[in-house]
Amino acid sequence: MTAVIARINKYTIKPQKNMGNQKLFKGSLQTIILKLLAQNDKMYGYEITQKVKELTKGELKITEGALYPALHKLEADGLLDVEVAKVGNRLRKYYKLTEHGTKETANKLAEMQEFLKTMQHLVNPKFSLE
Amino acid sequence: MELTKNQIQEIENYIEVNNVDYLDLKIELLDHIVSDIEYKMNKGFSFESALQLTKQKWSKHFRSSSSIFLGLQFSTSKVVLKKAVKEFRSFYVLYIISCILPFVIFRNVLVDFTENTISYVNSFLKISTFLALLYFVYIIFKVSFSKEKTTYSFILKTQYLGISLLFVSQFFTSYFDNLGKINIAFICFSCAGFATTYTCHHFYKKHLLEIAKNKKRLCL
Repeated sequence: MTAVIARINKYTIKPQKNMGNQKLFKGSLQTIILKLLAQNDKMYGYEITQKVKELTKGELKITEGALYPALHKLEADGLLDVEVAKVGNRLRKYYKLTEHGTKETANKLAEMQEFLKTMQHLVNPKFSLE
Repeated sequence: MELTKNQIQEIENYIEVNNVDYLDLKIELLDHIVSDIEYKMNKGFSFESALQLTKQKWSKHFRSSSSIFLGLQFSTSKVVLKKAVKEFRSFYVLYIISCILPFVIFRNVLVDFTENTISYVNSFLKISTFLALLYFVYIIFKVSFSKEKTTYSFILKTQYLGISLLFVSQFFTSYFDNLGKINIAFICFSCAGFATTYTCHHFYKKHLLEIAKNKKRLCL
């Protein structure tokens, strides 16, 4: 029984140290989705969450409640295209970049690089007053 | 490991019971939950315990919630509400602009309009508001009797009160005062009515598109 509870906790409780990361991560969700889709031809929702978890070694997790509104917004903005396919006993929605989406990914990544550079300047000890 | 049809049906029932069986979300939610359960089963969990864990994870997303953007009296599952607010947010700005813009434009207009102009403008606005009112009633009628549920039909339901703007506009005898000056309050009122009608038209089209997409999917 204890073993079962331990296994359940392992899958349900997020460590508190991740809370700050998750907040920083929230504003970059669309860029992360676009980048992943630029690297992979097409992806589905669950695959995106697993890929992020795998790439960040579990440090960052995309919550399901945030993922789908973001995907639908990108689709409505014409950045993503949708393809529905039958997988096993169910349907699966695949997302892929449109031509406009590919261009926008490059812009968003450049913006992100610029932002990271600015942050680096701010937090770099060389620029500190100490 | 792949879930059987019966196991998938059990998950579909869970989605329906939690009132998230919206056409534009259901396929993805179902696939996500099934994929998650299959992943856990591959790690050695039984179907029942994997389902229990997944339900635990999704319960916070399925909890009923409301937003100030759509009106606190309208509640639905958090996952649906998040999408609805994201889709609706820009239209909130449209409402504000439609109320403020006529005021900004006409506040400093001191021109006395001729009787002919007044008559034309009054007729144009009266006919427009009446046609908008008819179209609004049509949308309400079609969505209310539609069996299909989408996030867009939820947004539409939150906007129905806007019809009162067009209804009240029908009682305006003139959009000008006795001195021939524009009655800005009446213009703002009707503009807000047009903005609501445009919003409803936008989401009604999206609702129909989602139904059409779903019909296509069913052929797969």
